[in-house]
Amino acid sequence: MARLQDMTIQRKLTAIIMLISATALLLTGSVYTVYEQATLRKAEAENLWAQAGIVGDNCRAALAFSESSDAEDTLNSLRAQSTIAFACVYTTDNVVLAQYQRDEDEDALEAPPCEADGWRFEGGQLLAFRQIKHNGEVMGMVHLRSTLGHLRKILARNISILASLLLVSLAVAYLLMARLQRVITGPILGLTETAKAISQNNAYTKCLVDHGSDELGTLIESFNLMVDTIQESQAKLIEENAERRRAEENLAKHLDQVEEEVEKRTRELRQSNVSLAKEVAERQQAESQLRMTQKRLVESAHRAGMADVASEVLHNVGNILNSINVTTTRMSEIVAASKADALVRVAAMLDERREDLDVFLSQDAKGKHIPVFLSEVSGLLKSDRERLAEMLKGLAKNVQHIKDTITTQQSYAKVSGMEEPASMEEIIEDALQINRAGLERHGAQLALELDALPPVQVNKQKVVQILVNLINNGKYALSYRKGADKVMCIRLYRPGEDSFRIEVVDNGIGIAQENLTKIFRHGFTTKKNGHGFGLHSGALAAKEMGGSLSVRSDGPGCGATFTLELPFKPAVGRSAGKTATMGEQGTCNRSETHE
Amino acid sequence: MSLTETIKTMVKKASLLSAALLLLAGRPCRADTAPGGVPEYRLKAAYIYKILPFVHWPEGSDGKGTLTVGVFGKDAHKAARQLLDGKTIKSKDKKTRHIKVVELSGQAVAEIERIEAAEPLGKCQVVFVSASCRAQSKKILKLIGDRSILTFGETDGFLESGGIINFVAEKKKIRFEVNLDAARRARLKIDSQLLRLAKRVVKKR
Repeated sequence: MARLQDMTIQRKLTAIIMLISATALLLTGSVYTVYEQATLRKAEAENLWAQAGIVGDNCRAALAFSESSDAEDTLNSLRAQSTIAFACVYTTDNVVLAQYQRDEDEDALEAPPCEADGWRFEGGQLLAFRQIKHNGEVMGMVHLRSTLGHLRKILARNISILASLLLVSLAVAYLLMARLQRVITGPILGLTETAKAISQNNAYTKCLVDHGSDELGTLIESFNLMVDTIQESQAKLIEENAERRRAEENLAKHLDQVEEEVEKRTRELRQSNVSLAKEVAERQQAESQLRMTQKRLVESAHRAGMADVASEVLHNVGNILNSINVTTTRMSEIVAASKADALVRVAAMLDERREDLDVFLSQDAKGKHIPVFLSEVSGLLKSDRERLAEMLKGLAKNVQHIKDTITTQQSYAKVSGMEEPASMEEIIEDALQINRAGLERHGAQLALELDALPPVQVNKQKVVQILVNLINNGKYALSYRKGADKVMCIRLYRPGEDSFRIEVVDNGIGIAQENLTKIFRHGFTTKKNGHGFGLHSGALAAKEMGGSLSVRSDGPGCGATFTLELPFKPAVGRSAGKTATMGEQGTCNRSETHE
Repeated sequence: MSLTETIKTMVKKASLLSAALLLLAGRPCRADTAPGGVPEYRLKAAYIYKILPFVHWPEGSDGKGTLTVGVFGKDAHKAARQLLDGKTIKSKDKKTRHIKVVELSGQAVAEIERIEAAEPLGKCQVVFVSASCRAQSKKILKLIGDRSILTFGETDGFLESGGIINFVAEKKKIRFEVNLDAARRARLKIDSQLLRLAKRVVKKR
């Protein structure tokens, strides 16, 4: 195949066409020859069969009467058919009645054994065996044998004709090719030449060979178009090149300019960077100042809160002191009204009349009265003493109360920034304690609905501060309520896994809708002598602890509910307060759990 | 029909009947038989059987499903009966026919003028006149006339008398002669192949 590819187009075309023609002719010829041979053989067989029938029929009588000479005569008529080399007739017992052979000078051939009805080709000869029937009854068998020499002759003749035909056709084809191939190869060769010229001379020239409008023509046209296009684009390229060089020079110039600009900008940027840095520093300073201010505010709020608590404490202490005052006043009244003087006078009187004491006691009017007087006085003194003892008890209680309050306040005056384990119930109790006296004074009933809560990690001081503030506000609100059913309710519950709520509910004066948000503002107060820090700092503190402080109120006269929500953090370390470590430490002191 | 006519037919039938009876029960031919006796007659019967396929009767006269062979002569009849009776023969049109052999009386024939009276002679398709009935053979052939009956004989002059096939003994073989004219008169076709084998074929035209 490679060699085929390397041949010139001319030779290629010629070779291909010759090959194809030869193949076609050979194919046709062989197929025809084969077909003809087959047909001939078939015809030959049918012919022989018919002849066997004819001859056999003519031998019927001979067979019937076993007349072999008559049968022989009949068989001899086959001489007319030159291809039949041998024939014979068998009786029904497969005995040869008569036979015939074409070549008389040869020895008598032996008749083959009788076979079944039919014909077949064997060894270049055709054999036929046919039954002889008379009115449907088999009388015997006839056998004919034909040579096929004539068929072979025909075949040979065919082949020679084919061969010569083939040669002639190929010769003619070759001659035709020689003339006609130019139609194809002409343009191709022309194009090839042009292409070669272009590549050798490096100059684009068109192909000018004569061509038609077939594919080759199209090819040449396109080739020429291409050449044109190339030439055009070459020209364009040259132009563009020139332009580019100009553009490059421009660019170089521009680049210098741009560099200058860039340097300028960089300088400017650096400057602004520096000033920015300064600004940032200033801002940071301002921020830290802010933070400090905020801290101070928080502190002041804290202190305000503290002050709230302190003032509350003082208020309470003041109250207690009032009652102490009252008590001591009354005690001094009692002491002042004490009949001890009278007893002293009676004793002096008795002393005076020492010598006639019995006369005095039995005869003197005053003297007679003295036993009665003594018993009276002793009774009075006894009751005085009882009363005084009672009052002293009360006093002691109040003093203890003051002590406790102050201790409580002191404990909360410590630095309040750390979370510690605590029991919420205790914290609420502490906050209440600070306010209890005030609540009682205002006639408010206290209701506690505290769910059991395990100890939590919480900033005790802050929580207490908030609660104190809330309770205080509630107490203030209740004071405006007319009637005897003033109720403050404190609830402790867990709305969910992560938090817990302390609600301070009162049915006091309530909060106007427009104030619901204002009350948490720094400096806003509805109290006559309020400072407005309490709820603000409380809300802040709640936020700091990760919770919230909120309020609900249905309006003026409908009371209010303050809700402090805090995250539920289970207590770590030793649990707080009175429930723990009594035995371990010996004393239960809150300050000891605060480490 | 008139009275006279009726009487005429009655007489005809009566005579036919008596003739038939006579024929059947009548005195046989002379005891003159072929020299070979029954065996020879068997051979001849076989020949008749072989010849039959080569003879073609005209349409309508082939006796339908039965081929009746009438035999004159006791011995001949015996042989024929033994060999042929009941055998089947196939005709050209593939029809099968049975052979029936009947004995015919030469004596009865001698006294009859018309073949109608000579039943069952008229009903045969094949007739064999043995040598014993030689004397009557002419009469028989005359009676048969041109009817399509294949006549076999075994005496000299049979063919000349109008017989169709005559058996001739030659050495040890039986051969036959054919009177083609008689066959043509009887409208019987005989295969040429058979004629080839005949010893002598009589043909005037």
